[in-house]
Amino acid sequence: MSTSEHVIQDYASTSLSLKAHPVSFVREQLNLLRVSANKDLAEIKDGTTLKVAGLVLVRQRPGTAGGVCFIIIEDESGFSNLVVFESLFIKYRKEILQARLLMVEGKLQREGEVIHVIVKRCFDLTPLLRKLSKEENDHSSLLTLSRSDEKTAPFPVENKRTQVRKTDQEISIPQARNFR
Amino acid sequence: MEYAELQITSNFSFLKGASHPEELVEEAAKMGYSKIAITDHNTLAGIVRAHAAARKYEINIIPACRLNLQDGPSLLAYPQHSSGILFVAIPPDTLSANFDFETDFQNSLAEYKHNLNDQLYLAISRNYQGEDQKRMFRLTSLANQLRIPLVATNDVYYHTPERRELQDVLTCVREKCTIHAAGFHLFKNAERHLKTPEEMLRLYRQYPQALQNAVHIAQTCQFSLDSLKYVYPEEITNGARSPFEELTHLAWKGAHEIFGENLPQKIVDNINYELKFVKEMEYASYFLTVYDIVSFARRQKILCQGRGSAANSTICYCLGITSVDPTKFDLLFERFVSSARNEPPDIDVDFEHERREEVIQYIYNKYGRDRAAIVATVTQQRQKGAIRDVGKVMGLYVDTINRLSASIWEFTDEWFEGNRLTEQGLNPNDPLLRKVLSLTAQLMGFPRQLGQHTGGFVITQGKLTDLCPILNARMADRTNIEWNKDDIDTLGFLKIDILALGMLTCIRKGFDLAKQHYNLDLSMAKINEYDDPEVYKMISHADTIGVFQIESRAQQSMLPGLKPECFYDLVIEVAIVRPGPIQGDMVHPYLRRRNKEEVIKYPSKELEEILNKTLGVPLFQEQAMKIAIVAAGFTPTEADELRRSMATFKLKGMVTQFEKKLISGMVAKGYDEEFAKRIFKQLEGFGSYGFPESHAASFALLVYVSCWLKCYYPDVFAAALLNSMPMGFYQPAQIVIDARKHNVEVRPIDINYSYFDNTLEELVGKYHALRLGFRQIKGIRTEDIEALTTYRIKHYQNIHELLDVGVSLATMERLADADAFRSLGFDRRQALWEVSALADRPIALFKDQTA
Repeated sequence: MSTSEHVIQDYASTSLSLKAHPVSFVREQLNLLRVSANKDLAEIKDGTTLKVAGLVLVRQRPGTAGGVCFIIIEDESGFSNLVVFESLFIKYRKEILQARLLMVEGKLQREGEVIHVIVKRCFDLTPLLRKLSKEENDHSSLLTLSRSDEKTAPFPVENKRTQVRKTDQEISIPQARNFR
Repeated sequence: MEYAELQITSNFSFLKGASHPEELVEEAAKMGYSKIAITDHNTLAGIVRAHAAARKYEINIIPACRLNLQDGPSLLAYPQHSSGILFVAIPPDTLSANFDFETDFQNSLAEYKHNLNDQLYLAISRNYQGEDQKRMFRLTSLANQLRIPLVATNDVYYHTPERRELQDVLTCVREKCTIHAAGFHLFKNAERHLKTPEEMLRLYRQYPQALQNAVHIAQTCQFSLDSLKYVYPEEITNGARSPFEELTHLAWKGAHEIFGENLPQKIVDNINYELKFVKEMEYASYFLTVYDIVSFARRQKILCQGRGSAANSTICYCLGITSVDPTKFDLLFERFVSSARNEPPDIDVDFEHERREEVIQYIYNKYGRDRAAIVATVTQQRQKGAIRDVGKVMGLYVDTINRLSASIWEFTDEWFEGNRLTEQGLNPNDPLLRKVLSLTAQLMGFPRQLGQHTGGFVITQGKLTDLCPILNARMADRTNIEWNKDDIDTLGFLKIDILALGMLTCIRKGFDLAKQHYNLDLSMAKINEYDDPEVYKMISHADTIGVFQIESRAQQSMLPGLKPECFYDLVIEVAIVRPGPIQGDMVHPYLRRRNKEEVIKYPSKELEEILNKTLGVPLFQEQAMKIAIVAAGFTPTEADELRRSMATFKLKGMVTQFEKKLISGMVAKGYDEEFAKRIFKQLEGFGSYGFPESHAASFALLVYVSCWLKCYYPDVFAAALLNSMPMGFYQPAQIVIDARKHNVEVRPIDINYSYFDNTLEELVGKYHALRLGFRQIKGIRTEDIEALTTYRIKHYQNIHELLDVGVSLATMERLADADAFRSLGFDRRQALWEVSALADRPIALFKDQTA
C-alpha cells in the first residue's frame, strides 16, 4: 500500500492520520493550478488575488452578518479562513455544502495578524481525493476469501460480518461541521 | 354555554393528531367556545401548552386525557377538582354484522358502569358513514339499558378541515405505508375537525340530552393547572435549625473559610442584604438543596461550577456553588433574583460531563424516585426529518428525498425553494413536489418524540405525582416528568439544572495527568490566582485550538485585535464575540477605544463608574440595569423588569412606557435629553443579546485554566482533551495536528503500547510523548479492548495471542484496519491478511494457561 492509501485508511478508521495530510498528496496538482499553501498566506500582500485549497472543516453561517458564510479549510501546512458573501454562497452552494476538498479563488484580506480570503469562485476538488485510494477494493476481496482455495465468485460476495466499513470513498474524510 | 367539545386530540398524540394545542385552542376561542378539553392519547405532555394558550386567548380548558387501555374500551378522563374523575367511554366506530355493538363491548361497558356508576358517560359521535343513524340509535338504547348518560363529541383530530391531508400523512407514517397503499387506515372523510357550537347543535338536534351532558361535564370539571402549588423540599437541615438558620450559618461559615477572620465590608454588606431577601421570599430551602448537591460533588471530587446569573450572589460564592469573587466583581443580586418576579431563582450548575451521572444518581437516591424526576424534552420535526417522512409517504423516490434532504443546511430557517431545488435537478413547479413541500411545511415544528432532558430536575416536598404526570425513564428506578422545561417554568415549579460541561471533564483529566506525569497538584483556584503574561501572549496570538470558548473562528479573528492582557479582558472577550454585540455594533467601538483610536468621554461620573470597565460600551445586562438604577432612578426591581422586557420590547408594546421612564429619569438627574435618547436606543438594541457579566466571568475562569494548561503542558492538555471528546469546535485530527505543532511527539495506536484512553509516555524533549488510544478507532468500545490491555503483561509477540486472551475477531479487524499492529511488524494490509486467516483457527482450548 502506498502512503496515500494508508492515510485514507487512517482517516476511515480513526478520522486522523499521523503519517501525512491527505492534501499533501495532491499538492503537485494544486501547484499546477497555482494554488497557494495556507501557511504562505502570511507572506502575501493584502489585496492579492490568489487560490487556496483544503479539506473543509467547519462552515459557519451566523444568521446575522447578512447571510455571510465562514469556512475553515485545512491543508498540510495549516488553516485558512474563507469568507463567502451571500450572493456567492447562493451561486456556489452545492460546492460549499458538499465538497470535501474545496478550492477557492479570492482576495486576501489582512488585518494585523488576522487573515481572511474573500471568496470569488469555488471549485469542488473532491474527485482528486478519490484517486488516492483506487486499490481500496482489494481489501474486500481479501476479507471475503477466507480460504485460499476458494474461487472468486463472479460477483464478489460481501461477507457482512467481516466488512469493517463501507468501501465508499466519500465516507473516509470526515464531513465538515456546520455551525450557526 | 351551549356546547363544549370534550374530545380533542392534539399533535402530542404522536402521529395521530394533526394540530398544535395552541392552534386548537385559538380556533376554539375564535369559534366562540368558552371551554374545551384536550384529550391526548395516554399522555399529558401537551397540556401545559394548551393551558398557556388558553390563558392567552381567554378560553378555559380541561386538562384531560384519553386512556387507551390494553384490555378494554378506551376512556376519556376529566378531572373534576383536586380529586374526582369523570369518564366517558368510547364506543367502537362500527356496528357488527347484526347492526349492533359487539357483545365484548357491551359487557365491558356494563362492567365499567358497575364500577364507575355516576362517573361514567358514553360518547356519541358521528362518523358520516351510512350507518350513523343506526349506530346512534344503538348507542341510545345501550345507554338507556345500562343507564349511562350520553355525551356528544366530534372526536377532533385537527383544527381546520384543510389539515386532513396532513393527518392522512401522519397515519401513513404510523402505519408505515405510502398514501397510495393506505386504504382503510385513513379516516374516510375530513369531518374530524373542530366544529362551531352552532354546527354541533344542529348535528345533534335529535339528542339534546347528549349536548347538555357535555356542558354539564364542562361545568363540573373545574380543575385547572393554576391550582398546582409547588412546595420546596424541606428536610435539608439536621433538625436543629430551620432552613433559613442553616443557610445563614453556612453562608457565614463559608465566608470565613474564604476570606479569613476579618471579612471585607463589601462581603458583609452583600450577605446581609441577600439574606434579608432570601428570608422574605422564603428561598432558603432552594439554596440548601443546591448546596447539598454541590457538596456531594465536591466530596466525590467531581469538578463543578455554577453558571448564569446565580454567580451574582455572594451567598452562592460563600457556599461554593459559584466561583465569581464578589470582591473582584461588582455583582448585582437583582439580576439573579428579584421580588418582582414571583418565580424561584434559577441556579444552573455545570458538572464534568462524564461524571454527571453520579450526581444524578445521588439525587435519585436521596429523594427517591417519587420525589425527584428529570424533566422531559420534546424533539421537533425539522426540515430533514419532515421531508423524509412526507416524501416517503407520498411515494417520492429515495434518490429525490436524499437530494432534497442534502440541500438544506440543518438547524436554520432555510426552506426548499427556488435554486435549491433546481440545482438538485428538481422542478419546483411539479405539482407532486409542491404538494409534498406544502405538507412538509405544515409538519415542521410538530413534536416528534418525548425524550429526557439534559439535566433539569424537579424535586418536590410531597409526592411528585401530586404535581405533574410522570413516566418511567429508560434507566431502571428512575422517573421522568412528561412536561418539558418551558412547561415547568410556565407553572412556576422549581427546577435545578444539573448540566454537563465537557471542559470540566477535560480540566479534571488534565489535572490527573499532570499529577501522574509531572507530580503537580493543580487546582482551578490556584491557577486563577494570578494573570500569567505568557498565557495571555498565547491567547493574543489566537493560538487557542481546543481551549474553552475562545477557540472558534470568530473568536480567533477577534483575539489579535483585542489582545487580552488580564482576566477581565477574557470576561469581555467571552461576552463580546457573539451575534448580539457584533450586530449591535459594540465590538468595533470597543476595539477602537482599546487601541486608543477613539477618545472615551463619559457624560457623568456615575456612568463612568458603570461603564469604564468596558470603555464606555455597554456590554453586560448588569450594566444596563445599573444605568437604569443610577442614572434614571429606577429601583433594582424595576431595572430587572426593564432587562426582562428588553428582549420582548416590540412584542409587548412596552417601548414607550419604559422609554418615557428612562428618559425622564435621566433628564431629572441632569442628563441632556439627546444623550438619554441615545442610551435608550443602545439598551434597546442589545436587549436580548447582552450577557450577564456573572456568567461571562464564570466562563472566563474556565477559559483561563484551559489556556494555562495548553500553554505550559500541551501534552497533558491534548491527551485530556482527546479523552473527553466529543466536545469543542474542532475534531481530534486538528487537536493532534496542533499538539505536534507545539512540539509534542504523537505516537500511533499500537496493540502493544496503547490503552483505551490516550496516554502520555516518556519525556521526549520538553514534553511527554502522547500515545493515541484505542478510543480513537471508530467502533471500538471499552469492553472490546479490555481483555487486550488486561492480559498484556509483556508485549504480544504474535497475532494469535490476542485471540487467545479473548479479543473478538471483529475487534481485531478494526485494529488491523487502524494499522495498530506495527509493533508486530505488520502493516495494515499484512495485518488484515493475518486476521482473516485467524478466522480458520480452532479456538484455543487452554486459554488461561501459559504457552
